[in-house]
Amino acid sequence: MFNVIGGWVLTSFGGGKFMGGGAAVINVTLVMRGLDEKTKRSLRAEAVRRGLKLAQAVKEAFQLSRSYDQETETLSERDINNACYNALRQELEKYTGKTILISGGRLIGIYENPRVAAKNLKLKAPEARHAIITVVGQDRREELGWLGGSLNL
Amino acid sequence: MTLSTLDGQEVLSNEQMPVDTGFDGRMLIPRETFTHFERAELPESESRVYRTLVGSIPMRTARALLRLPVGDEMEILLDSPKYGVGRHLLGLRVLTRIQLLLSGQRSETCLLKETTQG
Repeated sequence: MFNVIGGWVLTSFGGGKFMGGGAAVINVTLVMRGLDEKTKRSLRAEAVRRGLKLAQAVKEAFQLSRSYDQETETLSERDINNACYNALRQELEKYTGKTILISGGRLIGIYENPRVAAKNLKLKAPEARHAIITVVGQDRREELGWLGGSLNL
Repeated sequence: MTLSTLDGQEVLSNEQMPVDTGFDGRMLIPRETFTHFERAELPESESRVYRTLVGSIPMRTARALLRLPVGDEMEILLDSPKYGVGRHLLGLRVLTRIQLLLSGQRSETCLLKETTQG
């Protein structure tokens, strides 16, 4: 699957959406120069441990890294909205059972249910990429179980 | 199943989805799909955490509308892992609201519809 020739050669890296979509797999050869031995061994061991080909392991790592980038894009708006919620949290307790809408770092309104809040978001902040819609007193952090299946998240 | 945002925009239409009775939540979706639901997200402090064999996994949680071929549209909470790519799963809290037949012999999962005899 790979050889070391002055660098690290990886074949069969491709397929899926980022190669242009469709089911056909396009094989390309990728040479990674300067990759340290420890990282190389670690990546190979992880691929073996999970029963993946090396190219599949690299592809997953790439997709994961991309997902972190997406997080970074919306982080500020999301952070501001969460900071606003945390600041107002105690004050909002008097609206137990009502739905609150936070967007752009401010409380937009208090509504009867989440669907009405979503409609108002569309009217009042159509450009917002992130908003908090939560039912006060009902949406609480829960710790739930997930057997087995989580191993390949 | 069809999955829409709270304001009615369809994100997944007539998609098939694996069921997982070991997943206590309603639905798990990949991060890429979750971006469509970020305009109805729960506060981070109220989002779910799942206990798994490899430790706790924090989620991002958002509201959405789920429509199955049988029954009414339901408002559900979707989860997507805060760290990781995620995948599609239909969990126990949706499965307990529908009638499902697992036919091992035919390798099929069927939604059952109530009919009246007459």
